[in-house]
Amino acid sequence: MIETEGLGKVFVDQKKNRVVAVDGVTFRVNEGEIFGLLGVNGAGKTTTLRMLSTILQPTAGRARVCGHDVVTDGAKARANIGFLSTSTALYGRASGLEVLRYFGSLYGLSGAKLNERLDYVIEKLALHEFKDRLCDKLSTGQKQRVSIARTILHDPPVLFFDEPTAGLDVVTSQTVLEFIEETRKAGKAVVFSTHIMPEAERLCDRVAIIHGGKICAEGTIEELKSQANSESFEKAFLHHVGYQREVVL
Amino acid sequence: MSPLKLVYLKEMREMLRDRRILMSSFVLPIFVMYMMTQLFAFIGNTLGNEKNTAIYVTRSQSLEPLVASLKAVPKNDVTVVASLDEGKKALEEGKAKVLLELPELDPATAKQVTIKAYFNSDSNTSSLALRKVETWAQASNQAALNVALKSVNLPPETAEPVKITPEDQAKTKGAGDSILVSLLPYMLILFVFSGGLSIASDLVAGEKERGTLETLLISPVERIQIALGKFFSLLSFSLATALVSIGALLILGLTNPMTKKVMFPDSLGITPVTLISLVLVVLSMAAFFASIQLWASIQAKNMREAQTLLGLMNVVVIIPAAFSQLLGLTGISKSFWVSFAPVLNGAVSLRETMLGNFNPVGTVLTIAWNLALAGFALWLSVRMFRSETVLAKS
Repeated sequence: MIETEGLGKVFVDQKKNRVVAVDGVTFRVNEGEIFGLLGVNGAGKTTTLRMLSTILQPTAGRARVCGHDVVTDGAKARANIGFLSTSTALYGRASGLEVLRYFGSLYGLSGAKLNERLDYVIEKLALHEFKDRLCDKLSTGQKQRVSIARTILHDPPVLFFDEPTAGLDVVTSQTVLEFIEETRKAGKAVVFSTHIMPEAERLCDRVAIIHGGKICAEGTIEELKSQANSESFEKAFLHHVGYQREVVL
Repeated sequence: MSPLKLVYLKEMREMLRDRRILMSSFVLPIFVMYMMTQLFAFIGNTLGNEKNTAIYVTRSQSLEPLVASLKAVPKNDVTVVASLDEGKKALEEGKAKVLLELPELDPATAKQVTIKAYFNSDSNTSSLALRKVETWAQASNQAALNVALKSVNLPPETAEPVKITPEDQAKTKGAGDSILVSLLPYMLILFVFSGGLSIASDLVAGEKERGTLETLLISPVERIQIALGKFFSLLSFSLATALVSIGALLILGLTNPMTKKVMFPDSLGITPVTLISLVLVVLSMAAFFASIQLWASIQAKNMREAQTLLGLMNVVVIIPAAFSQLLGLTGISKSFWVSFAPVLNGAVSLRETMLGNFNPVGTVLTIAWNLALAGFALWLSVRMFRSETVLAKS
């Protein structure tokens, strides 16, 4: 469903310096699988997901989503993607229902099919109470539920979640995590980017630890713990990213 | 429904829900038009009720007949003062608009009377009073000359061997000096530009800042459709603002008799063909403005940067638009190069057409050049939309 091969991205900053954000990332995600991309801030997780969702162009390697190359066949790749992060916002002066209808139409849904999908996501995410309210007037949790509805409205086979719980309260985070668990049951291929270890342990079938733009370890949670010879996944993560305590008190 | 139409309708709906945008695009122009028509009505009333001209003269027994003749001129308010100092004080205080220092002389021997006229060039009313006194002196001299010529049996024409009789050949007599013809091209340009100004920063830079652009770009819609949808919404808003402003000007101006008299000339050179050309010129300018505003919004990393860029553009647009008001004083309006000067070309075309000097070649060149520039700016915008830099934030 999702394949990357030597995927890389180099940015040129304002001083014309080359900044390697992603370097030779290779992985594969199958349907019904949640693949975790774990890394500290600036490790290259978001850049990888942005390349997979075609809004950034890779400078090396290639990637395919549902068989469509993200560079040469971007529109078809995008049609199969649902993308959710805390940075993807909603239109404040539109109601939740209007936002959903708008994106449904942009993804090619219309008529009875669109109404059917709208009914499904409204029911599924319990949006009845506030679907006609302007998004600016919604609480953070309500906004995130509308965002989730927008992500799955066109029933994409591939879902990308980029730190979807960042800045959310415990209850809203729980809603998001439960939703991601359900997508696995629905047979979706999911890439889940996070730096919160308990979330990765709870959700991911396999994870890749990304550091300095490179994948430094890949496997199941248990495999990574075993490789690091650690009972704690957090410690295993630190081991894989080469963390060393610099200050001894 | 095509994605372009979806993007267009969504943008229009969102903008129409924004009170800030509604205020700046529609309410403010109507208010400005109301204020302007009221101001012109006030000026018209003031000019219509011409006040008496306060003329102070120093006492002179020998020139009393001259003073009497000055008093006989309608709307002259002549005051005789005892001394020059008293007169100068009245001039300084603004009570007198002009002060005439009359000498004492013997009428039997004097060949010419020299009268010193004190006035204040800083004051328009004082300068006007001086002109009135000069006109009176000219008429008095002409009358004296006629009497002298008659006494030697010569006709009055002897003193005027060359006589000029003006014959106005303008297609729209008096329209060239009308406030409407001077102001309308400037205001149209201003309102078409400012109509888009209020929403341009929000369209792309605002979406970048709020994070909604990313969501939109992840959809399978072609980037050109997104860019065009936003461009057409910008264009619609610009035209709507211009239409509301001009509509308000016409309604407010024509319903007030004084404003109608002051602002609107008796005749304009507008025929169905020239009306279509006016609309097309405005449309081409609106397309040009919308395309550069969209480009600026894409170029900016956030709303603030977009507003700064658009503010600078506003200044660049205002200068040629303001210069267009002075075109009547220059001979450039028929120059070939004007058709290729953005903004100025539209202003010239609008003004000349309203004056009945419709120039089909110049108008077609103006429209074509504006559309070519709009196409180029739009191409740049689409290119940026297709590039990942469109998402660059500060």
